[in-house]
Amino acid sequence: MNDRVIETSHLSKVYFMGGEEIRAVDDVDLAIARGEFVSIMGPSGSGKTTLLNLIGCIDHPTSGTVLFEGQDVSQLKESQLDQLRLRKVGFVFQGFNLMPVLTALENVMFPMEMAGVAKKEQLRRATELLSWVGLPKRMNHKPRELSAGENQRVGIARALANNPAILLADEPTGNVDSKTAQEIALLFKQVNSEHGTSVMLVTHNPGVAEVATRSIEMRDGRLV
Amino acid sequence: MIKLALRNLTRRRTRTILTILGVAIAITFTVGLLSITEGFISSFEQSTEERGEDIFVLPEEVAGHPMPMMESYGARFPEEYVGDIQSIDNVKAVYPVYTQTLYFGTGGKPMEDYIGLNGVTPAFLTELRPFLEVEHGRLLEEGDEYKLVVGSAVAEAQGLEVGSTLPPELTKGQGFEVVGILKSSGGFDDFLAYAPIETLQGLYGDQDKLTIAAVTVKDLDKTEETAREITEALPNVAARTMEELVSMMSDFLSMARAMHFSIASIALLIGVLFILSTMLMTVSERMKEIGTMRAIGVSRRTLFRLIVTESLITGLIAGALGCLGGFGLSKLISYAIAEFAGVAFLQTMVSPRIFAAGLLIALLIGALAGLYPAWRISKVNIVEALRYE
Repeated sequence: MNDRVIETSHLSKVYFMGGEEIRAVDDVDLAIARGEFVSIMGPSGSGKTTLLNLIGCIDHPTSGTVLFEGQDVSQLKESQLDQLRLRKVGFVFQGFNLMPVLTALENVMFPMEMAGVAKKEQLRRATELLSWVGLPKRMNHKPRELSAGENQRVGIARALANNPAILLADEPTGNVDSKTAQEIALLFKQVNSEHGTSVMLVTHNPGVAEVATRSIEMRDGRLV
Repeated sequence: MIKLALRNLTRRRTRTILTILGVAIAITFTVGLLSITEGFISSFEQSTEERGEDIFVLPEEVAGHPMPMMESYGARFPEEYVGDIQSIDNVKAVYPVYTQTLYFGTGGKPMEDYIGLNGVTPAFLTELRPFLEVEHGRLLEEGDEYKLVVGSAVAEAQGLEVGSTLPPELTKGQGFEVVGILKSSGGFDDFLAYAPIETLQGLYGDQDKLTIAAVTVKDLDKTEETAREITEALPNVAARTMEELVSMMSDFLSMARAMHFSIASIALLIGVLFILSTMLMTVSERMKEIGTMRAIGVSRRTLFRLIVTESLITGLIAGALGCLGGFGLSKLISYAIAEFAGVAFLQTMVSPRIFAAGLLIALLIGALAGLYPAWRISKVNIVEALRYE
């Protein structure tokens, strides 16, 4: 059981829009093993992001369950879900979503501060992570002083801050050029192989999807 | 957390500064207005505590005036009333007073252009005003003629020293000599001058007339009864107990205070709306960031605290500035009152209590204005917030 970080069963999310039922995620059974790198592809509106949000515990399913390391997340209180996301999940966003008032270093330290890690340790680990993603000299720059590729590296370092069980990345290369996209994809690969962190990556880019160990395609809310 | 809150405030510097200024002005007015009431209460308390007399007997026309010794209204009653009052059962002693206003100039500024001159017996000062202390010289003595004991504010305004004489042309050719200058008591007595009663009566041709009779009683419990008896026994005068005068003043003060508070509360409302609108703008601009924080695992409570902290810091800075501004405004009001209104004994006062109130109110504004945006933000749907552009 413990070799599965994520296991969903009959997972569904249904919206009603203008009286019309939209099955954004429709009866999805998906398991992600520890250390696995899964890419999810599919056309826009196929439910990739919704699936990612359900697995990342920032959205609630209409029916079905998500087991996170064997724990049914629907049984958890909101504060426990906050803690789960803080410590076990690393989100990487298409638009980086870094805090503009904080430097790269402070952005990476932020989740650790929230998790109550000692200041010294925050600093040590953030420095180490930023060096590791290739930004040893840009730590004290704010996001607007960094390129898109650099910002996404900071985003990945932040996602790794509390050493999560899984990285959930939604179109992480959507805002960068194709060369940088390839570098970012390789960085995910490196995270996966060196840290053993599971990765679930939603992308439109087949080149990025290629680095995954398993590729899944979605269509109309279903895995195909 | 505080670091993050401070950094967030520097994001839109101009807007933050404008908000702080707006609230600071609200606090400035609050502090300034409260300082007027505070100053008045303080001098009033100084002036009524420790007064010896229990009853004031006044001409009927001026019986509604709460501070009969401050100015002269020209109304008089016969001096022989002193004996009549003395013969009433509970009366211990009667102190005759004759007040005049002495004009130095034609302007309307007290102390500079005119002073209240009280003609009294030496016993009045020693028995009814035991708190008056002599800074230089001496008090009035029996047998004094054309002598003057002046309050500190009078001495300062007119540049009087012991041995100075008033210009004779002001006092019908008689040169009054200053024999004593009083220490400042912080009350209305600083603004008065005392002369022997016979001298003044003679000077103004009012040998057998009084403006006030100050009365002490034997049994304090029967003060009211005695006052009623005096009013009934003598025509055209009214006896007011000290308590009545104090409560007349207190009513006036409560009214002033209520007015100041209502103006202040409008200022406060403006302050709250200022910060509130800024905070609401700020949080809606930061929607995506707030969604990100929630996704990362920041709890609703922490977010709530962050927003309230930002609002509190804004309030605190504004409060500090407002207190400084209020101090300045209070000085300005004091100056304006002395310059234009001509009531120099109305001094504004900025006490630590007022500063504390100003800061507290500012913090309250910050807290109140922060609660709603913070609550709204903490309830935000993470997925929707992340999608926000």
